Amino acid sequence: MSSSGEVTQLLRQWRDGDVAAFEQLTEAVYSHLHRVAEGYLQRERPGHTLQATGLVNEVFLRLLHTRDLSYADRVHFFTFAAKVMRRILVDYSRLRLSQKRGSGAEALALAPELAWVNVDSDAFLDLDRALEELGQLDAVKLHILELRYFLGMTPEETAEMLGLSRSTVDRAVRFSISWLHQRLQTP
Amino acid sequence: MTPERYRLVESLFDQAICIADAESRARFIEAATQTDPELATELQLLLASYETWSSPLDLPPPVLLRVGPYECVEQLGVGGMGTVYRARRVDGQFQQEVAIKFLRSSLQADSYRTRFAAERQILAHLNHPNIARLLDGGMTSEGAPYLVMEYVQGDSIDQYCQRQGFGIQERIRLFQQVLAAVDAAHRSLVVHRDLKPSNILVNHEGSVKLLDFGASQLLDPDANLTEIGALTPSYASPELLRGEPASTASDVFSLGVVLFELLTGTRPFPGATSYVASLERSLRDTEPARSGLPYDLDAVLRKAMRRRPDLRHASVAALDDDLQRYLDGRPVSARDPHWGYLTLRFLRRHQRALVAAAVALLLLIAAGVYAWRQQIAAAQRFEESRQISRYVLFELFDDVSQLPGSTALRARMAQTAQQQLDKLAALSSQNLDLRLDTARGYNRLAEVYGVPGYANLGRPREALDSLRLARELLAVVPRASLERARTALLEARIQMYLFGNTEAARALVDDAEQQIKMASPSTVTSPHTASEALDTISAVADDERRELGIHLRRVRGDLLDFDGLWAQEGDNARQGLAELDAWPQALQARPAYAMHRAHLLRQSGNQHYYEKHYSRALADYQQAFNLLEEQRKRHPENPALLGALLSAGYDVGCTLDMLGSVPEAIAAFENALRAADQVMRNESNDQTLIRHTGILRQGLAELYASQRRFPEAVALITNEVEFRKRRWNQRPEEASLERDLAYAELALGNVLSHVGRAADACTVWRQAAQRYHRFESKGAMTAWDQAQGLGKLKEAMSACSEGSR
Repeated sequence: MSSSGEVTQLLRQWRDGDVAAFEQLTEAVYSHLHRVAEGYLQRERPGHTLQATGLVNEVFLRLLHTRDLSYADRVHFFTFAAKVMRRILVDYSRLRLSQKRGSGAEALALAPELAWVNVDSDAFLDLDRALEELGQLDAVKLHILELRYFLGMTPEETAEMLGLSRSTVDRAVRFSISWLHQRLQTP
Repeated sequence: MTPERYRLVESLFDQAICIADAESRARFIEAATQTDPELATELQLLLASYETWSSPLDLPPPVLLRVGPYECVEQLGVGGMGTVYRARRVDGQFQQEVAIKFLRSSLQADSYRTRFAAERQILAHLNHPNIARLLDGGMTSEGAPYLVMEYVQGDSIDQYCQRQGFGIQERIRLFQQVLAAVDAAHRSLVVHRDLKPSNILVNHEGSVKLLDFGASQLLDPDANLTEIGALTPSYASPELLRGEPASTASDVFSLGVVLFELLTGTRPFPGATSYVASLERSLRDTEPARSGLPYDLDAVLRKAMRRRPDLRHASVAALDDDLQRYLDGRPVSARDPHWGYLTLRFLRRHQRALVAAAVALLLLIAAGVYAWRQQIAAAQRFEESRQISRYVLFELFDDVSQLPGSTALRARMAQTAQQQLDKLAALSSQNLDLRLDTARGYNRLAEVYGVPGYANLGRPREALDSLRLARELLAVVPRASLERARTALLEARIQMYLFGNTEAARALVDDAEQQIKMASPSTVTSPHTASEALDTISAVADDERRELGIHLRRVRGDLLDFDGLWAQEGDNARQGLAELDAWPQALQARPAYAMHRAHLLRQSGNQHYYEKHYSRALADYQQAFNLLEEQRKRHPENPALLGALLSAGYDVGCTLDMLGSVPEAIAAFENALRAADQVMRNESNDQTLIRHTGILRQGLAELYASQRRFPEAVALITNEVEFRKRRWNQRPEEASLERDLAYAELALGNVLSHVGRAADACTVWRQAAQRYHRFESKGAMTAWDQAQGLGKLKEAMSACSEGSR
């Protein structure tokens, strides 16, 4: 485990545009976040929003050993954590697919709004690709969706973290989920 | 999509969505996208997507259901009887996951509530490891009845079998767990009524859990189950479909359907998935489809799925028993259990060898019936009948005894022939040859009933009765001393091996010796005035005398062994071996010769063994083993031979152990156990075999323990103790069974003390000691018991705490 100073340093490098720092950072905190994700995958079931925020917060505090961090550091850590969580879920989805889970498995969704995407299926991998596409067109929307659905932040928390109004977040969610749904579900 | 176009789409979407009225919205889209029909399509699709994902129908209930101390976490399914949720306790008392079933009930009346509460009580007492427990239940504030049940994670039994790649046998074995559970419930007077694969789960450990037991009973008990949808037509019995009350027989039917599907992958009544089609089946006498399974298995399934409940297996236990019989290769009850079937099945196994036996038996029975009806002793028919009886009893009987699984058949043969002889003897009470034949018949019957050393049915009391009849008949027959000797030797075996009564055995052996001496060659060849038939006997008397002489030596030797007189045992055996060497060639060619020789070699080896000359002992034992192994090539399935082989293998193994070659000893034991298993498959009632196999298992367990292979040791010996306990419980009057149990307990204690379970060891030892003291008070304690049983036990128990005695 890297020292807290190292993590903070990496976080800042990444914020300043150092792409390699993201990978190093991931390596440093992946196992922690993986545990958070596992807890979600095992305990939570459809109809329950991912409640990882609190847990990630804990990871964050434990990793950085200090509350004395800039607001920007926090935003970046959470943004980063949401991206790692997304990656973990993609890995999970691939693993489940390679295990050829039998029929009759329960659908595992991220949130009620995304109940039409089973995390356990290749639909989830499609979602991941569509998210990437959305990110190219509208980085803020991707950011919102990641915090909202991969970290399970409430709309308020998301708005606060990104310095947006609640209604902007709601609008963004409404549009981007429709956009994803149309791309993935319309024949 | 370009970023510009994306922005345009987003902006139009946000505006359109704020227009609630569909017509206005359509007009807005039309106006905004006039020049761009593609944009219109894109917008419309996006709006449709929004409608779809945000539709409240797709959303789970926003409020969590709470019932008593439980909070529903997720909906598991909606079934005919109601909706099931996974839930957890929220009162913080303890962590527990449960399944809650909200029952759909057509009745809300008070009488129903009372009934519901009463039924719930019964179900709460249904405590079986393979049944998901009912933990709680009651009514919600809205008056809907609910049940709180153990939450089971697992696959349905069919999925599980498929995933595990199970074959027929494994599937049947797994299904037997289901049967055990249903049987237990039936004993508590609870029927399931809705048995189907999705109600039978298998958890990660591979144990079966039955869901919804009795749940349907908690619904309106008077309603037709199908009307309220609480019944799965494909699996329901005809009487249930017709609306008759459920019974254990309807569960038997459903179990038959489930097993059929599990074994074949198809349903026995194709097209019966709908209620109407099923009802049709219930009204017409529809036979289930051919399963394509082995004939006996097919018969078992058919019997379980008979339309008439009274023609099905009488209980789930009976179905289970039939399946076990199928697995064991024994005759199943689903086929006609009468004599003809037994013969048929036997003939299938040994095609040509037994056609003669069957024909002869039919003749015998026919002749018997005929003679009996006529009530006349027309000389010719009398003689014919007698000839057939003799043929069956004295020739065919020996041939058949070479075959595996023939014990039951031989008992039947002996019985039939015996009855025939009895009738003939009654018709002509002065006929002495007939009396002798009849007595010989009783001796044969005794062997197969329960004389140790012969493949037998394990019924020593009946064997003793037969021997008594033989003795009475022989009392007035002159020159029948050889047959009298045989009767005495057979009884000696029972007294010694089964009842531990060495005193009685010794007297009987002495008596037999006297009888054989009286039939010495000189007296046999002397002129006599008895009937012609006795001449024929005297012609074979020499051979018989020789054979009985060896027989006597063998029993005598075993008696000496019991008494711990090893040197005398060795001398006796070597004299016997010398006698065998003097046998005429024709007699040496008989399979019995090798068996006699091997037995005497083992007795000679015993002397060396107990005198601790292990290399010499090994030489004798090995020779015995090789001799039998040689015979096995010619008679690969002869049960008596296999039995002797496993005893010799046991001796070899023990000696190797003493010589310090433990791995080789283990190999010898495992090898012998395989021979035991082979013969046990066919002779599962043979008490001698069961005993010897038990001794082997015990020895092997001790060897495993000595190699620190403790888990194998504990498992093997614990099983054996349980097995012997069951046997003894079945016949508590049988001292030999309790003696076997005591020895196994001694061994179990030893193994337990090795693995540090001293307290458990002492408990088991104490139990064993009590048994030995009981033997002592009954005077049934042998020298061996004294030294190897109680002696060893006292030694071991010195390690137990003070308060132990």
